[in-house]
Amino acid sequence: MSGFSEWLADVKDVRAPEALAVGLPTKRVESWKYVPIRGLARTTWQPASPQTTEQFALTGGQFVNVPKVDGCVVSENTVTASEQKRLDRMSQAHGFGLTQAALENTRLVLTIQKTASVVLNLHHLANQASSAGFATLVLRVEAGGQLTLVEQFESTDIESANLSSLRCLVALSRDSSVTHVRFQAANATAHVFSNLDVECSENASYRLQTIEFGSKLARNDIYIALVGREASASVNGLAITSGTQYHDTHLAIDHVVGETNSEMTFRNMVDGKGEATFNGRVLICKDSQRSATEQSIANLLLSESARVNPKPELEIYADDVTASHGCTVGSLNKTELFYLKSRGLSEADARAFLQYAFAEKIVEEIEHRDIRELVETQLLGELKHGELIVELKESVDV
Amino acid sequence: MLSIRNLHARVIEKPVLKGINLEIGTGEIHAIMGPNGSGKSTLASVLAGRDDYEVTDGEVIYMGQNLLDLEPEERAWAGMFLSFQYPVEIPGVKNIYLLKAAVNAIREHRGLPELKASEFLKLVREKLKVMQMDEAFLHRNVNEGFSGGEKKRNEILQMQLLEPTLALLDETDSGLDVDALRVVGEGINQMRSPERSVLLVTHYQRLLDIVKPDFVHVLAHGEIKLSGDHTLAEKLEREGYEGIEAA
Amino acid sequence: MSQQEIDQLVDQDYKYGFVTDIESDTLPPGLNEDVIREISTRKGEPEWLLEWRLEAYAKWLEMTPPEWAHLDYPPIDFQAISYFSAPKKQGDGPKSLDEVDPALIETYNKLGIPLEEQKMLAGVAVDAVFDSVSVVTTFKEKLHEAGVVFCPLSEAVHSHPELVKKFLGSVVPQNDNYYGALNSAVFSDGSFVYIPKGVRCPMELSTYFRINQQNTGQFERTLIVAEEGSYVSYLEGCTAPQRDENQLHAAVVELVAESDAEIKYSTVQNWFAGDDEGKGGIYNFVTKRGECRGDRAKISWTQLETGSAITWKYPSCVLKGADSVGEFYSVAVAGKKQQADTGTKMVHIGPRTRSTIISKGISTARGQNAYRGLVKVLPGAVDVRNFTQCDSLLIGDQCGAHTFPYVEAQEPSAHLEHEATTSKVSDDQLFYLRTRGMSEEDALNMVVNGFCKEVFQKLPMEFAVEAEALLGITLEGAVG
Ligand SMILES: Nc1ncnc2c1ncn2[C@@H]1O[C@H](COP(=O)(O)OP(=O)(O)O)[C@@H](O)[C@H]1O
Ligand SMILES: [Mg+2]
Repeated sequence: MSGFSEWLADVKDVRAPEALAVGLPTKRVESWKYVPIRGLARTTWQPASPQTTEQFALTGGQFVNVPKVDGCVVSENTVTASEQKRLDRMSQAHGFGLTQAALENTRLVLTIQKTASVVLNLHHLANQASSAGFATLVLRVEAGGQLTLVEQFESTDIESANLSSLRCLVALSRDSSVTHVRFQAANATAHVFSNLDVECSENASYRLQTIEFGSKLARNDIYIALVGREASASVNGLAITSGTQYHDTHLAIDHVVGETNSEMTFRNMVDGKGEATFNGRVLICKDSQRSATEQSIANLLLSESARVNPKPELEIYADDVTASHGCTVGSLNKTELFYLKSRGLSEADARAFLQYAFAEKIVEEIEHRDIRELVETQLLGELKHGELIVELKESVDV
Repeated sequence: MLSIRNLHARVIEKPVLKGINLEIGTGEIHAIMGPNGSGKSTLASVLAGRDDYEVTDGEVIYMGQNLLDLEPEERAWAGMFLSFQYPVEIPGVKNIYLLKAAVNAIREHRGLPELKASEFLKLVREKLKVMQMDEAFLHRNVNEGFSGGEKKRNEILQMQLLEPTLALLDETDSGLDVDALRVVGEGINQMRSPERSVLLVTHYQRLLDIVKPDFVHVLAHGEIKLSGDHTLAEKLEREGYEGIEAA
Repeated sequence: MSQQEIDQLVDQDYKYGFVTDIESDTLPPGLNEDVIREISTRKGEPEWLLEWRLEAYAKWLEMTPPEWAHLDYPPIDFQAISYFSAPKKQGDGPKSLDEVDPALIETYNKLGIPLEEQKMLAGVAVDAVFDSVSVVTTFKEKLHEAGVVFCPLSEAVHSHPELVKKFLGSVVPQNDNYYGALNSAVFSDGSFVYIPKGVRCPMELSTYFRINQQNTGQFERTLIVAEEGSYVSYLEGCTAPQRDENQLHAAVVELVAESDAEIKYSTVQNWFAGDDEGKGGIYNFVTKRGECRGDRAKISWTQLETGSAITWKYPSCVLKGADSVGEFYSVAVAGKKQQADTGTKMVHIGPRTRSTIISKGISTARGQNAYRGLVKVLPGAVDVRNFTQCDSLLIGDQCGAHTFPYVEAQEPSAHLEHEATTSKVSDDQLFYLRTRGMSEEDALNMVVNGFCKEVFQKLPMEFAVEAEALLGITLEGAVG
């Protein structure tokens, strides 16, 4: 026995027997087709324990130091029927969902009050070797509220596998807005699971910027439902995958009613033996007229063994809509390389420039300045021959 | 400075240059004219080292070196500059990054010290003024969303900063209105010096009215059919290429 | 457009919906090993082929129907279908047209496919398949002179056993997929084409398929082999009578192109689509695949899919030879309550292989149209190029358009581009054309034809006109 079986056999949760029976997802499940799941099964997982920290953090499956800020209230630890429905859908959505639900340590429910403006900085601390933490965060944003949620991952030197999973429910009431920034730079042995379920009411806007650098394996499941008119969602993502990393994002947006807008821009840059999967699905329901959606996926392959599996999907049941998607796979553009070299840049510098440019298209969109700079620094650190750009930035940026 | 001998080149199996011979002396300005598709851009690109073109015969000696052996960046370090007919857009790279990286790369190979940020900015601002360009251009991505005229100005701005020994200007005048043409023309004139040579590819007399060439060549079907002084350009303007193509 | 107008327009007759009254020899419904033996016996097949069928049947029994497609239909009762039906005739089948039942000739005339050679479209050789058997093949002599073999597969089994044995199942193996396996077990007839080395087939080849009998499935199997440096252009057309119950059509098409060979395969599929409420119509589950085995080989699929209640079909290219080329040009129309899940697979194995995918989906009434495609680049397939464009057009607000493009890239030198758009017919375009005096319907036709032009241009000339007309009929009444 390995994986989560022993742990599941131990917990009292009602879903545990089913989770145990279902086991880990296999490659035969369409949405897990490319996921190298074996690493998960090889470890015998144990519950992680929380570490001490001063920050608002998720550690060992627990939230610690929940900030006391105006407009943000820690609500009772129960969920509404509709929230429970969304959580159940999450558990059923894929093979790992039941395990996540059954092994959940804590749940935190926060309410962002009417017209309040709140910034939350959540730090993900690395769990110990062979240990895993499962948590759920419920965010209720009341009418006109504004939330900026920044998630950052701490990287430490842990040599064996560890895992952290966060399921996050976000409900945006009318006229509210959420800017959600995720910067995943976990250590190279981490398995990071993130399930996000967002519901946008009338005139609410949800904006996600997700950057994946770290971890051994990362799986993001993002579901956004636009349920009120004039609701909008925008997702910008970047995954930089190298070594033997695997990054996987499954993003689904439902236009449940008309006059809603969505936009997704995702870029994968894969080097070494890395593999990246991106599945973006947009559904425009019947009668969701005058909706618009735009998807763009770009994949840059930098080495012989790099792999990408992009799949943009459109499912459209209304006729008065505009929907488009574009997807490209390729290596660095030869004409651009030539242009830079004809200006005296060495091959290595020219390549670094173009890789940086590829990623920067996503990074420059991050409004949160500290995070943007953090991401840029890390990005430049990852690039082979990034030094020139670092120097340029320091010298000519104002 | 540059000596092209019996140069043959092809693109995707199709021969485009069929034996070009051309000598460019130090300090000279040569204009190349010719109908569309005659191979002018191909010649400029081959000289700059673009690998879509395959050189099948001939040689090019540039300041005593075998030019065709060099990588594009090595040619740039050796003082060659190509102003592209279609400048490349590079989303995500700020113009100023490219300018500074290029200036310092070339200075390094000339044995000059790297420019400090302040020195560099001072220099760029000076050149921007010459090209009548707004400073905002520095912080936009390389050529991205630039109009045709802005791209050409940006090319000449780069040339001013990189101070090449041999400038290849491929249709730098096309798509410019009268005022922009003057700015670009003056930008080129300002670079004239006894040490610097220029190869100008153009269709029109109007640029040559501002930048007076020492020699004019007519390229047709991959060969230089006719050479002369600047009066040849005037003749072409009046009579067109037909007579020459038949010859 | 108002809903009422749309309904009116969509409501149009299927002009190929007649039934031919002809005496048939039809096996009772049901499927088991004995039925397979019986099919094989009736066709006088050699032992090895019977074995091959039984093997496929055993594999099929182990398999389950695919569920991943964007389709919704009740489970098919495979025991309620008859697996063999042939027009009754004396002896071994017609030696010449004179021996063909006049009622059959009449049927094909109604379909607009004259079988008399002198009346034929210039330069097109036709094989006509009626229910389970091929009834006539024209221009045999002329083709024979060129060394081209064009005959029913059941005939080829006897006349060219070594070729059939070598290539049958070599592209689509028996257990490739559920419906392919079923076909391998019970396939009835279809065309066999063999183009020898260096031969350019002197005329277009064409097969017309027609299902006539009630409760009968059609399981044709087509095999085309183009030897080194040869060329062939092949077109298939399909129709069926209007019946209340669903009929199953599960075909397999295998193409083999050796070095420098080119196969152009075009389909005009107009099986009965069922009525407005989704009653009746053909279930069209088809496996089509071509292999570019040699260097610089080229396979090009062009399809116009207007019929069938359900279409499940992904004509594919396996690009093994270096510099080989695969193409897929498709127009799929889903109106009434039709459902189409169609697209292609381009598997790049050889270096510098190139593929182009142009898919145009049109949805009207309550039709659901899905494009599903895979572009796969295997390690070592250097400098591969693919360009994919999927456009969907929606006419009316009850229909759906879906795009599921899969990409699996395992080679950094690959350059793949995918673009897709979904939109409705632009009111501006319609208005513009109408201010120029065009009726609304003509305006729609013109816009839709423009939308499909890129694909129609790829059809053999003789059929491009037919395709436009067919599209026109299909759209009749779709405006509002
Ligand atoms: N990258 C290319 N791919 C295909 N053909 C090209 C390419 N570049 C140039 N050619 C062909 O080579 C010939 C010469 O082109 P070019 O040098 O651009 O002409 P000019 O600059 O004189 O107008 C033309 O026929 C052109 O079509
Ligand atoms: Mg040119």
